[in-house]
Order: sequence, then structure tokens, then C-alpha cells
Amino acid sequence: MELNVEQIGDVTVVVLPGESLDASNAAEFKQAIATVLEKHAKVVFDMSQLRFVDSSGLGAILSCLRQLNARGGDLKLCGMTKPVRALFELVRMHRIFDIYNTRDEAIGAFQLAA
Amino acid sequence: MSVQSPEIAIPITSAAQAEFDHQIIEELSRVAAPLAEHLGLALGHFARGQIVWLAPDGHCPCVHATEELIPCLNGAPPEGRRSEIIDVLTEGKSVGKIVLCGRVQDAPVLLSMRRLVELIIHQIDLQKDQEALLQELSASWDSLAAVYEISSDLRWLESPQELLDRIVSRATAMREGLRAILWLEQGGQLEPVAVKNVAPPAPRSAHVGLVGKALKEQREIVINGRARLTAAIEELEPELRTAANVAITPVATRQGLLGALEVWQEDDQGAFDSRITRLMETLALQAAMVIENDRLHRALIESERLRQQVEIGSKIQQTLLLGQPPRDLQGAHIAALTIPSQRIDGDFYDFITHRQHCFDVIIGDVMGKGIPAALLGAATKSHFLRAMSQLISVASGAKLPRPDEIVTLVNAELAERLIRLESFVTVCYARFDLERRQLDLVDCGHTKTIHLHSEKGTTTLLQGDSMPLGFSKSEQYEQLSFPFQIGDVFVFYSDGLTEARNASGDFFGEQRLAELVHAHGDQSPEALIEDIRSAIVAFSGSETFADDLTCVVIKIGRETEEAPLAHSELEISSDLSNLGRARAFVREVCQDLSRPPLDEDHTHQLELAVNEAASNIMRHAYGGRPDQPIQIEADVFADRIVIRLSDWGVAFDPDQVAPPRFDGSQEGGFGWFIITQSFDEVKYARDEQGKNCICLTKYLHSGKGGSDHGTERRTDR
Repeated sequence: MELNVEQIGDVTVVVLPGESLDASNAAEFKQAIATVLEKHAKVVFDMSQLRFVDSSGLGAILSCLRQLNARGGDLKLCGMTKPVRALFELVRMHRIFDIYNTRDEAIGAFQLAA
Repeated sequence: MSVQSPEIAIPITSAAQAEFDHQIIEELSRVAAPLAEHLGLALGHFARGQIVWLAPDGHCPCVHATEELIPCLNGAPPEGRRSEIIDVLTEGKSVGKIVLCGRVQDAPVLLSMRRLVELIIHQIDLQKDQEALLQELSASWDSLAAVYEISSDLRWLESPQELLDRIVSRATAMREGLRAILWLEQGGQLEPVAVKNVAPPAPRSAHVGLVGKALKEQREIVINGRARLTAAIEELEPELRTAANVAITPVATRQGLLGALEVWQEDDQGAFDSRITRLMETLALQAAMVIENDRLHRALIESERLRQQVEIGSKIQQTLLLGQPPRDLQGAHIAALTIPSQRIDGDFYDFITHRQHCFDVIIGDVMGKGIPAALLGAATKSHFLRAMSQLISVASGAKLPRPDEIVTLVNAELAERLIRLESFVTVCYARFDLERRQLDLVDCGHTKTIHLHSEKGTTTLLQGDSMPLGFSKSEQYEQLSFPFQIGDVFVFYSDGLTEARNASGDFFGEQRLAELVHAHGDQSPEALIEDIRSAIVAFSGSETFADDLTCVVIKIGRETEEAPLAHSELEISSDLSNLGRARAFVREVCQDLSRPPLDEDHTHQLELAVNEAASNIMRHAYGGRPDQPIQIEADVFADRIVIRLSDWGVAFDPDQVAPPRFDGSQEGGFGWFIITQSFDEVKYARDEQGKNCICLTKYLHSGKGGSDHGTERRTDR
């Protein structure tokens, strides 16, 4: 899985690729994102490409958050499409993640916090 | 044989006629003959110039008469006898006669038997099944009343002691001042089994005294005059100390001596003559039959006689006691089970359909066993139909009589008889109103009804506090009302079911039954009943039971089992890469409704839930193997979408799914939660072939395009 990673200041923005993140590619995604998470602490997932995320995809994103949090970093999400947002709300994960409408807002949140 | 009675018009013999005669004889032999024999009546079938005695045990001289000269058949029974002649009619023509003959004093029993025989003939004539007979019986209250009379007589006749007491009383009624003892010989000892006008003496040797002499010589002994009773006899037979005349008749069957009937008087009112001794012989013969019958009954459990009893019992049960569950109900599905025991008892049930949306279930149990209990059950059941029609006829308009009214009336009519017979009947009268979704229940001391609430997944036991029928004539019965929902299950049963025992003597019990219903309530009533049956067989380790097991299961369903407007199917292999295909399938179903398509939010939600279900199957049921089959079917109805996912992997237990944690501490475990949140009904079932099926139902509410979360949500096993 090829990830589009962009560094903006000290914030790393990853565009989650493909239309769906589900049980079929969640493991692949976790593997691909591992190197990013090792090297960076402030990470934004741009989810605007994703039309569909299932519980396995959500689990993968949750694991990213936990890895970052464990090392003092943080993960912010942005650009969520409506169906993906619906899943996050359904399982109450919108209360766990920091979710922003746009990539700039997410980056800005990191800068404000700093 | 060419002899015909002048009034019998016998049609030309044909194969059909022979077959008809054969059927009549077979049916009468099965049902009526054992009863007739039991009641001491002669029963014969006369057709085409031939008489066949099906029950010859009636002391009717006709049994031994040549066929030209059968007095009973010609309407001139011998003195003291009474006969009933029944025309055998088929298609309105007389093709033979049935002769019933008994003692004059047995007239009511004869009349009852006549009705029974008429019913049997009518049944064969109509060539109808048992259901038809039931209808016939329901329509004919008179006939059932007659059957009921038999039950009273049988009950009375069932006690040999009472019969022997009556024989001894008859012996003393021959003239004034008589005293009598009926002695029974057992292992060389004489025991007084019945006495009249004397205190029962202690048992004594069978080899002493006058009685001993009569037994030894196997003959009647008559002694007239005090002088001839020796002192020796007096010591051995103290009751004869002051006797003037004595007569002793051995009680014997062809098989041997049973005992002796002894009669004496203290005031000499004339010698005992042949009139007395003839009567004594008759009474001794009757006593012998009673004792022999009783011994047969006790000793030969596996005998033909008992087999016949059981057969009569099961015949009565099938035709009179057990109604047919209605099949054409909209919104309810009924199944019933009976496992007859070695000896029939009085379990009964019946169903009355009022409208398509309303029906009654009556289930009852008569205290006692055997044919009397069975007949009492039949009579009670018919009383309900009768009470119902009585109340309808006096009600204004089309108002249906309430269950409490019906039960109160039935009890008022039956109570006195039940009290006299020292019996009572427990009954559960249930009315299901499918429109109002309400059960009205009158529970008269019956077993607790099990109610499975499909929505909550709980069971409750419904119980009233009314008396059984036959406790008090003036009892006012009260009904209780219980609401129910679609998918709810009700189980009615007899105590034979909960009182089945295992090897260590424990009852099966209502708790086990309720748990069984709870665990298997999502199945069809037939499947549930089969599960109950096998559970009880497994529990008791036996296929046969001491009591009849009766069980009626009612499942509330949708009003109609309508065909779907659209049906589609997809078969995929268990490769995770196929999840997208499963989602596309769902999307297509949702967008292709022959109604406004489901909105985007709900479409996505169903996609997500089906994705989760399929993903669970691939990862858990099939353990990640990518080449296993998964079947997805979708049915679209006017008001709902039903999606079923089937697999042949390992079983899934929804009860073992831990609730998800929403605090971010857990990366998985959301799948089942998502499924149950997205569909209104989620059911999982595994069949015997190892097929797992998850059935997901989404209701389409007009205007909204889907239901909100949190309403009408159900999770069933």
C-alpha cells in the first residue's frame, strides 16, 4: 500500500488511500503506516478519499491513535465523508478522536496546542 | 345361509358390500366390542344372512341360537333381556344390522352403546377422517351426552369391590333375614371379600367346615334345619352358630375354584329350595366373572385385553379428545404434540377459530386415568363447544362470549357431575386476539403457561388462581389479560410433561421447559415441539411415559406470509477481498426498491452491517480460509428488507459477544454491535446440517426511508 505522506512543519499529513478501508486491507494499512508512526508524533489522517470504513478499518485507525498517544504524540482526523463519519458516531469514536473538517483545521489545531 | 328377516332389505352382494361389512366389523371390534364386553353386553353384526358375534360375552341366549332363530334380532329378546337393533345404512340403504343385547336394567348403557355404534357406522359410511368424526360429535350433543353416560357407568363398574358388594347384597335380597359372605380362596386361606348383614369374620383355612366341604367337593351344599349343623362346624364357622338354613355355592371359572358364596338365615322361614340355589349359582357365576376380570386386569398387564384398552383409549383420544390445530390462521402458527402413555388419561385440547384474527385454545386434563377419564375429557371438551354456542345464541349482535363467561357456564353445568364422580378437570382457556395483540386467559388450576417475549428475550409463566372445574358449582371464573408481540411464543402443556422423571426421580419441571422454550423459541412451533419431545426423552431416558404428554405451541407471526416483491442472491467465497462485492450487492438491493429507494444514510448503514456480518464469517466462522462459500440473499417486502447471510463454518454464539468498549481502549469488537444497531431484527440460527444463518430485517417506515436507531430493535437467538 502506497501512502501519500506530506510534511507540513512538524505535522505529518497522511492521505489515506483508496475508497475503502475494511477488513480486506486494514492489516496492509497498519503495516504501511507503521514507519510513519515510528518517525512522527503529530499526525493528521486526511480521510477525504475514503467512502467506506468498516470496524476493522476503524480498529486500524484506533491502533494508530494508541501508538502515537503511547509515545506522547497525537492523531487528528480530517476530511471525513458522511458515511465514514456515520460509522464513527455509531460506535461513539467521534468522542475519542479529534476530528476536523479540513486538513488546515487539523494542522492548525496541532500548531495551537504547541 | 339364505335366511333373512323380513324387514331387512339386503342389497345384492358385491365386493364393495363385502369391503363395507369388513370395515364395520373391524371398526366395531376395535372400538365398540371391548367396551361391550367390559359392560357385559352382547354385540353382533348381521349382514347378508350371517351373524358375527363381536362381543359374545353377554349371556344372551341368542349367542348360541341358530341364525334363523335369533330372538334379539327379531325384536323379541328373552325374558329379562333387552336388545337394541341398529340399522346399518350406507347411502341411505339398509345393508345390515347391529345387535346389542343386555340385561333389562342395563337399558341406559345399552342406549349409550347404541349411540356409539351409530357414530362408528356413520363415520365409516361417510368415509371421513377423524376430523369429520370430531365435527360430527361436536354437532351432536346428544351423542356426546350418551358417551358421557358410559363414562359414569364405566367408572362405577371399574371397582370390582363395589360389584362384589352388590352381588352379596343381591344374594341377601332373595328373602327376608338372609346373611351372606363371599369368600375368596388364596393359598389355602379363605378371606371374606364381601359381607352383608354380618361382621366380616377372620380369615380361615379353606379346608374346614361347610365352606371347605363345598370347595373340596366342588358342589353346592344346602343344609336346612339347625339339628344338622354339628358342633364341630359351629366351632370352625362361628357365624353359623345360630343358623337355621345354610346354602354354599362354589365360585368357580373354567380355570378353577376362586372361593364360595355363603348364605344363611337364623329364623327358619322355610327351607332353601331350588329357586334359591339357582339364584345363588347365577350370583356365584357373576362373582367369578368379576374376580376373574379383576385378576386378568391386574396380572396380565401386557395382555391382549389391556392392549385393546389402550387401543380404545387412543381411538377415543384421537377422535374425541384432541382437536386439529387450525392451519389457515393469519398471524399465528400452531403446532400440537401428544405422546400417549401406556394407559390413556384425560388430556384434551381443542381450537376454535372465530375470525382470522381471533382464536381460542382450550387445553385440559381430567383427574384420573383410563377410559373413564378419557370419556370425561371428551364430554368436558364438548361442553365448551356447547357453552360457546349457547352464549352466542343469547348474545346480542356478533359479540363473542368472553372466556370467563364460557368457563363459568361449563363449570356450572359440569360441576355436580364431576363432584359426584369425585373427579375434577384442570383447564386453561386462552383467547388470542391478534389484532389487539392480547391474550385473555382463564386458568383453572392448570399448568402454568409459558410466554416467551421475543423482544426482551425473557420468559414468564402465566398463572391464574381459579379453581379446577368440578370444585364448586357457583365458582365465578376470572380472566387475566396479557399483551403479546410478534415473535412471541406461548407453550401450553399437561402436567405429564413437567412431571416426566429422570432415573434419579427428579421431575423435568417447568423451569427446564421454560429454559428450553427460551433457547429454542426462534424456531418454528413444529421444530420447538420436536426439541421439547427429544429433551424429555433424553431426560427420562425413555420413549414411553406414565402419563400422556400433551403440548401446544403457538407462535405469533406476521399477519401474512407474503411473497417478497423482489428477491436477489449473491454467492461469494470467503476471501476478504469480496467484502466490496457484498456491499455493492446491498447497495443495489437498497437502490432498486420498487418504491422510493432507501436514502443514502440508511443504504450505507445496511452496507456497513452486511459488511460486518460477512467479515465475521470470513475471519471467525471460516477462520480466515479464503475459499469457503458465503451465500447472501435479499428479500424486499413492502414494509421491510430482509437480508440473510449463510455459511457452513463454526457456530456463532451471539450471547458470548462482549459489549463493545467506547473508550478507545479496544480496537475490535464493534462488528456485532454495528449489525444489531443497523437492523431492526437480527436473528442467528444454526441448522442440523451445520449451516449458520444470520437473518437481518430492516423496516421501511414511510416518509423516513428507515427507522431510527433505538426503536423496535430486537436481538434474538
